[in-house]
Amino acid sequence: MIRIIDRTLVILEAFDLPELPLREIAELLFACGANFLEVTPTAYRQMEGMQGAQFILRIQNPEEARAYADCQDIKRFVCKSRADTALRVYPEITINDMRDFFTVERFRRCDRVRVCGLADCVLQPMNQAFQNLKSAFEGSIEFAADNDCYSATSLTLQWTMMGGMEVVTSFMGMGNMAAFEDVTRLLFYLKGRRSRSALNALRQLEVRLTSMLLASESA
Amino acid sequence: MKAARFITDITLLSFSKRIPPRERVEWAGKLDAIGVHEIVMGLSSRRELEACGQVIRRAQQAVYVPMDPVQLARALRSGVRSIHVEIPISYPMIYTVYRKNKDWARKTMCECRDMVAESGASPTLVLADASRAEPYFLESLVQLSEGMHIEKLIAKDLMGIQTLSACAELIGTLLSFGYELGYEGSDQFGLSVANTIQALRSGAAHANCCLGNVGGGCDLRRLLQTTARIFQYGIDRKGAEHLDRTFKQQYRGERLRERENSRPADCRLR
Repeated sequence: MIRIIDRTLVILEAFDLPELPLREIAELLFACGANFLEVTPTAYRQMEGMQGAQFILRIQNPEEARAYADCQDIKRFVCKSRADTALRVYPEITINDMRDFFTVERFRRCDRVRVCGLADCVLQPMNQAFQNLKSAFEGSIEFAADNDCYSATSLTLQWTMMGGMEVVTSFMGMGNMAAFEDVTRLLFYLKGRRSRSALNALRQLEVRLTSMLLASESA
Repeated sequence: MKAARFITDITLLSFSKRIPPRERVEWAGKLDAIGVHEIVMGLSSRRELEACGQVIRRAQQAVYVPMDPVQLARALRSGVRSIHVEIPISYPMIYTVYRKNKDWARKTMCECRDMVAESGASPTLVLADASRAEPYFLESLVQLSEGMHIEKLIAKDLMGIQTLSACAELIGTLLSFGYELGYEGSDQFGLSVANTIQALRSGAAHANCCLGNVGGGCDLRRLLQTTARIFQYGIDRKGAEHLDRTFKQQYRGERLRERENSRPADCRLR
């Protein structure tokens, strides 16, 4: 099953919008087909206890995970370039070139890794690049392509077509990522992922978020 | 050394109804000035086509017509040297857009072929909805065009749900027909730039692009920005970026309306 990890809430938080309706957006994102939502500890505290929700908590230091060890709705923790298997903390690394031997070797044995970057894949023999990426790590890979070459959605789709199971997106591709709404629709059309009701929810989400962002822009 | 590729601009075609005729002529001149290889426009009045022909100095001027003998005859009489003929290549397109059947497609194709052969023109065949074409039907229609002096084939994706591997496969199939090849992506779901790059890398020589990401096609500025280090387009990149900005500023409201109208209902895709 293809799982979508959405990090819209992390990016919206950085916008510093007044009265951000986190719960409502989170509910819509789940209804649209996001499997996990990435959130910061601040946002998590506002949404704690949300029914059926599954979060991935973004932390700055693996030690922070101890404070949330008993939270059932936190699936795991993601931390930039640092891992701790015992605490369910996995690393987020940036690879722009598979020859970046140092980074690859350092995290090769992790049971899970989030790989960012990879924008240049579209300018290279892509199948080879993806095969190399898969064989470089022993654990699961969360694919989080950058949109530097305006190809993040395309690369994300191709990753799932080649058997990749976990992808990272954000609404409208905010934060230079694959667009959640496009990936969701494409996976529905090409892989039959989720039902038509998820697409209806997607339209609601688009209306809600677009109006919210436009209002904040004009303010 | 960078490989040579060519840009065919379809801004005036995709956005023709939103730009007044006089401005269309101005934009044709501006596009020519930045160095695009070909400028495609709709089949408008003879006067307008002639006015465009006068301002286009380096690029090739082309008109776009659907697979319709009446319109093709008009295009052949228009005096424009290059004609892009749209060939509906998938069953859904033949049945839903043209509301005809495969036999009609074959018959009309033969009719168009005879008209073109008689006139001595070298058309470009735009294989519309090529991403959903059945390989056998695709091949049979291209075979029917034997006898025409085809300048090039253009694979046109209409749905915008083509994956990178499917795009490479389609280009591989079309290259086997032995014609020069172009590609036109659709940006309904943000895949056009990646698919155009993939097509160019797989052997297509021409990329159909537009300014300001209008009409759902591949954005010229983005393509140049992404691939300038691997392909040589013979285009003034800074000029293209400036033109793109000007276009966006000038037609911002129109672009939003266009995008809203062009977004397909989800139910139509499946």
